[in-house]
Amino acid sequence: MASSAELPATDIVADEVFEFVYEDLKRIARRHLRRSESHVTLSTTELVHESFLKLRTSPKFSDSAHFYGSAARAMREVLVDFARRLRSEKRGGLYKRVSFSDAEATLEFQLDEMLALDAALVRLAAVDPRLTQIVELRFFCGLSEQEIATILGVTTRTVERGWLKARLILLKALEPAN
Amino acid sequence: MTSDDDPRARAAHATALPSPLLDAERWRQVEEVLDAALACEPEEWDAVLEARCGADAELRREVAEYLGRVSAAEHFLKAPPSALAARLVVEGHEAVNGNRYVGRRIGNYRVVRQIGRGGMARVFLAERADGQFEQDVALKLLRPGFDSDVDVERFRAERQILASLSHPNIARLYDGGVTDDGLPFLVLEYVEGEPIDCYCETHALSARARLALLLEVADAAQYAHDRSIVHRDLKPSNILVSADGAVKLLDFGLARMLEEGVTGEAPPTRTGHRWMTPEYAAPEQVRGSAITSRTDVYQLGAVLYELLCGHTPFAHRARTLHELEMAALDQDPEPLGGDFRGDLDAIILKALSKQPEDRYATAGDFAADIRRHLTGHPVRARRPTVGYRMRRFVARHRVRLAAAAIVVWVAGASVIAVAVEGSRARSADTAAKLVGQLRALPEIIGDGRRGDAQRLVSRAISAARNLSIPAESRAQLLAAAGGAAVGLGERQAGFELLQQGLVIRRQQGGLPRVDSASPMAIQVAGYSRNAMRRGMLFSRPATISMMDPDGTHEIPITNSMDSWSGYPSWARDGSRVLFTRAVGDSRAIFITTTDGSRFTQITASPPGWRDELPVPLGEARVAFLRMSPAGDARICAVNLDGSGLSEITLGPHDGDPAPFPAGDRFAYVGNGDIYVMHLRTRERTRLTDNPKQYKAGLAVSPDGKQIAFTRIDPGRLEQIFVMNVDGTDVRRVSRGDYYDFLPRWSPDGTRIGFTSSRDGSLGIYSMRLDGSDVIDLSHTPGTLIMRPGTSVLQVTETLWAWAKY
Repeated sequence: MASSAELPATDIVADEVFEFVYEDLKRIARRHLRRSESHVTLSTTELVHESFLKLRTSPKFSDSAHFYGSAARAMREVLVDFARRLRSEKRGGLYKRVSFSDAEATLEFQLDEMLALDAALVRLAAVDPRLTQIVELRFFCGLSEQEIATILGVTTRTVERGWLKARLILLKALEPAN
Repeated sequence: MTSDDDPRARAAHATALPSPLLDAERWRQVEEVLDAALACEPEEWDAVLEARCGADAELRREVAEYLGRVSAAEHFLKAPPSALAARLVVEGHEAVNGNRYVGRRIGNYRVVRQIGRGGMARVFLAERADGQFEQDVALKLLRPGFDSDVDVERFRAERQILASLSHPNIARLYDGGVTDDGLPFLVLEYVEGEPIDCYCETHALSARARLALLLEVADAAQYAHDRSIVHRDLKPSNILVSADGAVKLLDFGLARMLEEGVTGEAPPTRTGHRWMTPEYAAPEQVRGSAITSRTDVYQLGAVLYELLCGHTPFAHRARTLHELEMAALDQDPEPLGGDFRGDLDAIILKALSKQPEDRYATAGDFAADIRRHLTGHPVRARRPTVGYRMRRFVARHRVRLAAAAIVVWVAGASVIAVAVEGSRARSADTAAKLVGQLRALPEIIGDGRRGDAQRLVSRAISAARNLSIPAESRAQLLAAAGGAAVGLGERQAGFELLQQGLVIRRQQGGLPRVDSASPMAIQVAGYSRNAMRRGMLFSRPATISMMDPDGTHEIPITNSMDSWSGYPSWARDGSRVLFTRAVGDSRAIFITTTDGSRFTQITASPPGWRDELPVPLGEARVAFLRMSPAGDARICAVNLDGSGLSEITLGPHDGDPAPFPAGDRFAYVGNGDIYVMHLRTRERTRLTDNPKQYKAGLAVSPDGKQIAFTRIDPGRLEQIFVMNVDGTDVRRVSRGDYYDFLPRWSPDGTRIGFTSSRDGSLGIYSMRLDGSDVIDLSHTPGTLIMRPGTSVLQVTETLWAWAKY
């Protein structure tokens, strides 16, 4: 695998991957749902799998760092966009009560967490883009530390350390006292 | 809830500061020391800080602050955002489906656009399509899933009743029918307005104006009640106020129609099989008891409560649906106080009474009392009847009266002790002493002083009624008295006391409610009924986890090496997990959310006793096995809130309760044979006739027609068998000579998951009903990650094999 480290956001290939993944995710989501109707057992990772697998066979996206980086960013944006929309829908007016079915409560929590996390990641990128990238690959893409290491061309140890440091910073940033 | 606890407050904060998270230059310095420390063991961190930071105390403090979060960080962002991803899938589907209807003709109407969707229905703005006259309507299309079994006749009858409601403050039902593809729909008056709570806020209405609005709502409800129609789901989003201030109640009577009138079977609603909104649900709705117009009175009270203080009676205190429901059953709402002290508080609290008969009889009575208040007349709510006072008394002294049941058997020893209220236990000290004595009870009994023992128990019970003693002490007294009563052979009374102690401790927050989770596979426990959830539960020594049915995505649910957890099974709601855990030297049943937070202890057994194998019995009850230290084992049942514990089999060697999907029967192993028992009649049928042959691990198939179990045949290891529920057609499923046990059905009933000892270690496998196609689930890598090419596809195919049910 190639080991280009930085992922310029303006990169054309990256943008193409992003578009592809974004649209494909939505399409896959719909198709899967038809297939299994209300039985949705998909998780984030599975959601991206199909899209990724297909993408990888395309020679256009042979640079795996670009590919994964863009895909992770796409996943993040899909989820954050969705969270933002769902949250504003749920909040409705000035303030809205919390819905209380367990599934709903979990979701609400995830929505809030997702948006807070996203905002913190934007700010983290200003300090250390590499850490942001690790979070995207690890959390949003579900890649293992070994895989991230291969993609980024660094040691697994570095990724493990970076993943921990990123979480330390984010945790601190998301704590109420801050 | 303080803003600090509120994740939204955190979210808002994070978005409010677009600046870098920290100073980049400073972070480089911190990172350098942090890297150095993280390369070492925690014991060495101090030394690293000392060496690297030197005199820079601020740097040292900053790094130390990060290091202090290391263990927390390891759990942070651990689980992928799967709930959100799954929801994305659903919503994507929704959006497409909603648009699909636009432009379509349904009945005499053409769909213009979707304007809302709720739990069971999609609502469209529609217009007359037959050109007879121009009219915008709201068209409510019941969801797919509803269409399975529409009772068209009943649907029409219900519709006609509702269509007879003609009141200016109730949205009209014009029409209804069934679409070409079999979905029931209703045509309703289209109301433009905003929910009453939003209206009150945006117009900054005074309390008096809010009361005036609610009076209109109550009057409209009374009109419907006069025609024997109950709303059942009154809440702000069903009460709209138009721009000119006119109130309209939506969906009158629809809840009942949805609950009972459309399909042959109860629909899956937001909360189990009941059609309600938990924040506004009356206790009888939570319990599933009879709904009357007094239910609406309760809900009107809840809405008024919210309009006056900004939150519903219990929602701000509860963190989960379960807690919310428990609060609706057990807790008194906090009085509003302030300007509302006195009459209004009395009116609202009367409307919110736990017992329907304590509430206003009608919405009209409720309205009349509000009018009395507004006009300065004495309100009826403040003149409670003798019956009301009596009931309040009963509620306040629940423990005492429950204890009265126990008096029956201690009567011979000491009635006096019970009758003299709290006479000998005025303080926590006395209580502690009593608890100590009770724990030494086996010796007293051993000395033949049974009378003394009974007196001691009765003293403890009377002390536990003394509300001036701290709740924790009362809980301890009840637990100790319960254990002692069981020791004296009074099982039922003792069990009940133990449960009462548990409930008190829980109310006082005296029980842990959160478990930090971490991973560490042995027993297959069950498959989720709700496939939104990640399917399969299993336990490793001490911990419970779940994973996808293909063996991937393991997520820990519990983690506590020192309080060994086991026997997980899904609660009926498909979102919570029942399991057992050690508590002191006994074991108890717990229920938890799948993230391992918010767990609740449901049973309390006497010291040395063990509660195991919890399985759901319908929505609100759990069956489990209770084993005495002497080895006596019987199946018991208890409500999820800890009340109503009873023994349902007679022992002495019963086990493996396995409920039928309908919740009306369960299979179990009794003294070596397999039985099926009807819960209501307690009639039982024996399916096998060979008590010497080992049988265990029963599981009833999702269609309720077959039972899977393990059996040992001569010369073989433990193997999985399946038979019909009448005991016929017993066939071996396991192939090969392995040690296969704990069979569990896949949701579609085509496969059996099981635990097996192969390759020298225990693992989780699944197979078809003929024993073919064995898949190893537990030896696949822990987390499904992208692997090149075929391996992912194999896993994906396996996943679909499971997901296509």
